[in-house]
Amino acid sequence: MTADEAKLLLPLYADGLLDGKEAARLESVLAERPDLREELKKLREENQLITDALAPLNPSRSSRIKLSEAMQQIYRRAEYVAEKMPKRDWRIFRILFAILAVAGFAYIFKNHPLPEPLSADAQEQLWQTYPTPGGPPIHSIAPLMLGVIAPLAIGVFLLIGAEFIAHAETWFMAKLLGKHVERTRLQVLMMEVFGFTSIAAAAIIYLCMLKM
Amino acid sequence: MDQFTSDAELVDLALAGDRAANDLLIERHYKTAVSGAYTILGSIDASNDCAQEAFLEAARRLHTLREKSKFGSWIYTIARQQAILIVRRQKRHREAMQTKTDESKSVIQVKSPQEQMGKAEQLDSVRRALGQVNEIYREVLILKYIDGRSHDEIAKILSISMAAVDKRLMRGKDLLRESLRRWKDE
Repeated sequence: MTADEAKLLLPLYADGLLDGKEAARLESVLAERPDLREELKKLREENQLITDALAPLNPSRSSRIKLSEAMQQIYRRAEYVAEKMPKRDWRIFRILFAILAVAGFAYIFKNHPLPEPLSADAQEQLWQTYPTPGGPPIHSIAPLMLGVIAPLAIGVFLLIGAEFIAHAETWFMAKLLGKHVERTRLQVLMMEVFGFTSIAAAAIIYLCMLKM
Repeated sequence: MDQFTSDAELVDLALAGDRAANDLLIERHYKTAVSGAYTILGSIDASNDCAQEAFLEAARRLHTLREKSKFGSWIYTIARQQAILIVRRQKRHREAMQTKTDESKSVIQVKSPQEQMGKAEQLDSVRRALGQVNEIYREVLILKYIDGRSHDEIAKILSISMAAVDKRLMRGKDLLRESLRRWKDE
């Protein structure tokens, strides 16, 4: 190994990057060259200087203990929350329920439709006799049906997409707060409850309309 | 449990409530986290706070960590993310206040010449010079010299090749030397 080659390898040697064989060859050159030894000394001092400059970044023992305690509290809290969370996965049940609800409503709409309203002429005549401020009464049951179909559709959407909605909610919250937000089973459970409630509301509204 | 216990085992034990495992994880990776923060923040106190915050965030999310053996790389990323958030918050704060940049809170700290003398001043100039080095070289330098991490470990943490680590380290040191020289000349 020439002195020039050795000089090029010195930074690697100072950082302990040379393998045994190469290091041995370099050491034999170093033994004969005091200028290279001086250069190596400088490089090592430089490395030590960087290490010393970064030394204040080492944590004190007390701060490590505090950190450890704070982390333990988080683990304990996570365990507590996990215990409180419902463990059963309702996914299959609720999707099945949503499909059955759609099929059930389709059957009821077909076999137990709402009574047809009066014809347009009859309604106009009725309004001439008993005029009301809102104009002639409605000519169609479509707006009434919207009151049933809307909660039904919302309910089915919430039941089928509970996880997706909870995920989107978590993502939005994380963006809003600028930190990581964990998705919980509770969020999914809330979607399930809203979904079931909406479908039940649609059924009750339709029942009331049939009875009227 | 000893120094040979893998990170994956330590993560499992920590999740099961084993305090000693958690302490070992802190001991093993605190400097990694602080390196990630310091690369972005350039301030010792802020980086220590940020590393602590990163560990707390890691505790909250530990059960979501799939590759438990990559805890070091994971905590490094979290610390960097936290540091970036701090920088953004500082920026927003400064904009809101509409004042000139407060040097004491800026990413790269600049102290008056009277503040530090001798060795302390020398170390301070090294830190300032480090702040001038490009981030990709700075992070390798910090990981290497804060904890004497092997190049293999640095490569794993940064998800880059060993050759890239060697190259960045050498280039980083050249840049640091240049930067130090500039500071001295000024």
